[in-house]
Amino acid sequence: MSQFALTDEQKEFAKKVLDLARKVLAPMSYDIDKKGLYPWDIIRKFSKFGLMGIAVPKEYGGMGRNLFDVCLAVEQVAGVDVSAAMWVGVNIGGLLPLLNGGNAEQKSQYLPKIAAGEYITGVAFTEPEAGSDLHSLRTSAVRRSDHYVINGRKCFISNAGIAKVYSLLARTGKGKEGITGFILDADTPGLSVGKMERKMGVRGSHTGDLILEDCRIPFEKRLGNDGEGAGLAMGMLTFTRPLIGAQAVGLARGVFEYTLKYARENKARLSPYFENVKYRLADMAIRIEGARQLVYQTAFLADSGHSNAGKFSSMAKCFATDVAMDVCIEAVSVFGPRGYTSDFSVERFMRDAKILQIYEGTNQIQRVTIAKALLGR
Amino acid sequence: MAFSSRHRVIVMSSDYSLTNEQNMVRDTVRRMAQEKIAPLAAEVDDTGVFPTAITDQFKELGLFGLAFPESYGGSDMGILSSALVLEEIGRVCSSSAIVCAAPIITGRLILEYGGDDQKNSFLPRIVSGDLTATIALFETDAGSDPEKISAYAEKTGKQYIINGRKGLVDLADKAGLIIVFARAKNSGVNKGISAFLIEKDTASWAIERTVEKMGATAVHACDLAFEDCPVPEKGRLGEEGSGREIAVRASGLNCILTAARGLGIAQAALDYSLNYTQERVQFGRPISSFQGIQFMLADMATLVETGRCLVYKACAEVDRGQAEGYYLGAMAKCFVSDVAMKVSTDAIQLLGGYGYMKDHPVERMMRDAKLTQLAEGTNYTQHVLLAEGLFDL
Repeated sequence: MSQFALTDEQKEFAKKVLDLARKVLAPMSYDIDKKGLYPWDIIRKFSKFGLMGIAVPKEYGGMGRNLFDVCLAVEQVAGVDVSAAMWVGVNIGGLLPLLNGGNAEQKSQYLPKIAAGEYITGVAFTEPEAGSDLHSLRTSAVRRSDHYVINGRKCFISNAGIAKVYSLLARTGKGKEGITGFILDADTPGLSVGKMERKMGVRGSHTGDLILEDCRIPFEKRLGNDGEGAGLAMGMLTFTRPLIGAQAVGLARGVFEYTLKYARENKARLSPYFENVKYRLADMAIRIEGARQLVYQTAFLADSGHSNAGKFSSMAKCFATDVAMDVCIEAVSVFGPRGYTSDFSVERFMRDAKILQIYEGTNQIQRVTIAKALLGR
Repeated sequence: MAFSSRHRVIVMSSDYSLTNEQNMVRDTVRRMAQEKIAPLAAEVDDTGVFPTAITDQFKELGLFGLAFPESYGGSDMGILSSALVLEEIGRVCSSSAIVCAAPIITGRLILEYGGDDQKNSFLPRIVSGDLTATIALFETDAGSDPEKISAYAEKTGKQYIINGRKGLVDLADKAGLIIVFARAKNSGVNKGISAFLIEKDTASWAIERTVEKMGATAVHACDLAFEDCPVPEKGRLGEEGSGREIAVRASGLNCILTAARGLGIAQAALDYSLNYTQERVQFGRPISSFQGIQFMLADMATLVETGRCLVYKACAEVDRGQAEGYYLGAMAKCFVSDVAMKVSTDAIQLLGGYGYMKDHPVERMMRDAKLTQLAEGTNYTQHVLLAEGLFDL
């Protein structure tokens, strides 16, 4: 048994994903960033490979990969293009409440379509006043005979306008126990896409408002029972936080390898301060390797349902994304003033990296969560 | 415990405060920057187009002339006054601060190294803002190291012929005057680096390309080619072979003014964070009431104030004619640019998702801050120079 190592199958899988990512993304990444493209032909290639349904169980036509393998795959994609890693990652986020809280009928209706890449998913949790603070959720779900009537506004929703189906949280009662999960079809009357955001980076991942005006969601589309929404959110986050960590590790590794290559090929140009650059590279390598092992460890704990998985997922997300940000800022400096220009991709990665410290719970919230786990409440 | 302002006045030596005149300059420019530039800043960044309305404001307030003698139309208030101005402009718009700084640096080089003819010819126009001037030192393979410059000037009779390429020359598309650093060659004898004043009217440079940048987008950085570009002998700045010394001075000035701009960026990011965290309510209270947030804000504020002390100290020494001023200026540049990077990155963090969006200015501040670390020899280069200074190498 090989402890603390990838299996041959995992190594081969990661390599295949990396090859695919390099092949289809590398020629497009500049345009994806500049023009904010969501290129359907690439999504189709990802679907064909299985990436869009990577976490969908095999019986529904997906790859049935566990979190560990999902992290491996996302890491490879993020090293080439962070927007693309979000296409895969957000699709898993939207899937998870359905996977964890959906009944057999709901699953057989949606999962095969998600697995095939026919349905792109989104997560409709965040609201203007309810970011990290789920308790402040305002979107209301009022029960009528055989349906709920939903009213509210969601913001910063990834895949807004692209997703065919969203996992939605709305309020059916008071407090944390008053939050309920729903499947929200994109063509539901009363649902519209509001303002689209203009962002600093990850511009290939579309972000916007969802406006719900008297949306009727039939009873059959409720996820689990009333009041189980907060649990669905936590279940999702335990899975997606390590995934963000994996995005960060991939991003940092991609930038690091690119920077290392540049340093090696430009030794003469960097010679007045090459000693300094060497130390910086060493620091990057130390922290990236640490983050990578923490993400893998966390994925393993989450896959095996360990009680520490929640704490570790916060640690992995927080540490890896801080590393990615620092690595990018330093990498641009190694490239010098040219690093500030679009001649090199490091400036794009630097802009992309910042979002990782923010979404799926800011790193400040992660620290609160970690401290709570350490100290008790 | 709170210190009263009266208490502070007693404790502080008057040497460690701005003069009334400097305060007045700062307040005037602050008002102008907030009223006239701030409303345009997002659009300037988006479009990469620099409005002449902003340059007109600089001219009207005489901002190009603060650090020049009255005989050239300036107000002789020293580099510290210019730094205060760039700090205030940097708080609202980085591109504007660079547009304001470039002619000041060029003009100061002419003031220090130029002959009377050169001073009389260029300084009044630079001071009035009628002549946009900039510097071409950087070459892709040489970085900012003058020793490695490959552009060369060959002397034929009463003129030099310049050939070579320069990279990332700020404002080259708008400039009427560029100081170009080139290796002077004469009959195969290498006489080292010299600086040349090249006027757009008499000789020209070809803009090969304008690069796309992450920030400061309205200051166009151009790659230039000089092909058999003639410069009369009287267009040489300083002695033949004195280019290295002039380049070091250019770097010194640029460091100080870049630090001032970075200070403005950092201050603005801190101000925005302070306002936002007091307004943003999560978990039933303003997020500024959480200690984790307070620690971040306190660290940011400490870094900004420390950076400010360094910048002002460096400027004051330069204005007193102390060589140490430029050494401190290089320290200030390294320190403040790192502060601007950190504080603006943290400011986005404090705004959460909102900070990442272009509806708020902090993402722009972070992009602009990165340039302050790279400008004028990256901080790596400055660290080497600072260490050399420590060891007296």
